Amino acid sequence: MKNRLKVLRAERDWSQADLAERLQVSRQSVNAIETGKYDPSLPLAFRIAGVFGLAIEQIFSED
Amino acid sequence: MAFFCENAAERRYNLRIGIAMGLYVVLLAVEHRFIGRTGEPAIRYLLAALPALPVMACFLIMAQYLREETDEYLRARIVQQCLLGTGLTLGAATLWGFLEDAGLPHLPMWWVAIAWFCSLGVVAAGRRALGR
Repeated sequence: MKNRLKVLRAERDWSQADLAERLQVSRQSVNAIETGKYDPSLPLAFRIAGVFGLAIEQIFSED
Repeated sequence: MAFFCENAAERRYNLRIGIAMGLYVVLLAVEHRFIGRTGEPAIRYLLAALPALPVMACFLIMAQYLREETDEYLRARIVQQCLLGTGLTLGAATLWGFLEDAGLPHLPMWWVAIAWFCSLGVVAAGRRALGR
């Protein structure tokens, strides 16, 4: 699954640690999701979407 | 399993494992000191079982960590690490058991638990080496 986390973070000038804090997960989690090593569960994907104020499909897409 | 103290679940895990290992050292010393002093089978069995209890507790502590860890990615990593470690350990134990027929020395069963904990380290080191 592809995602736009890195771009969305950059637009808001957030570090991975900033995003991790907002999501209440570890920085490793953010890094793993961002680099495509880990696909988040649906509840976490909804939390990510909520943090960015976007719909899930505006952040994640199929390969 | 080596954790950096990053979140509350990991801190609790480290504390509990530390206590269990401390108890292990104490109970192992108690067993060694007293098991030769009694011929009563029931007491000998009880003394011999003492050091096993904190080691068994470590497995429960790991299960408790997995229940308490709220970070799904970390939880998935640990579960995967345990599965890979279990596969490595069972494979090695099976191979060793059959090689005993060819002359390898017989090992006590508690070595399997030690090998399993070591396998977790091997998996972690392998991941680091492969950048995964």
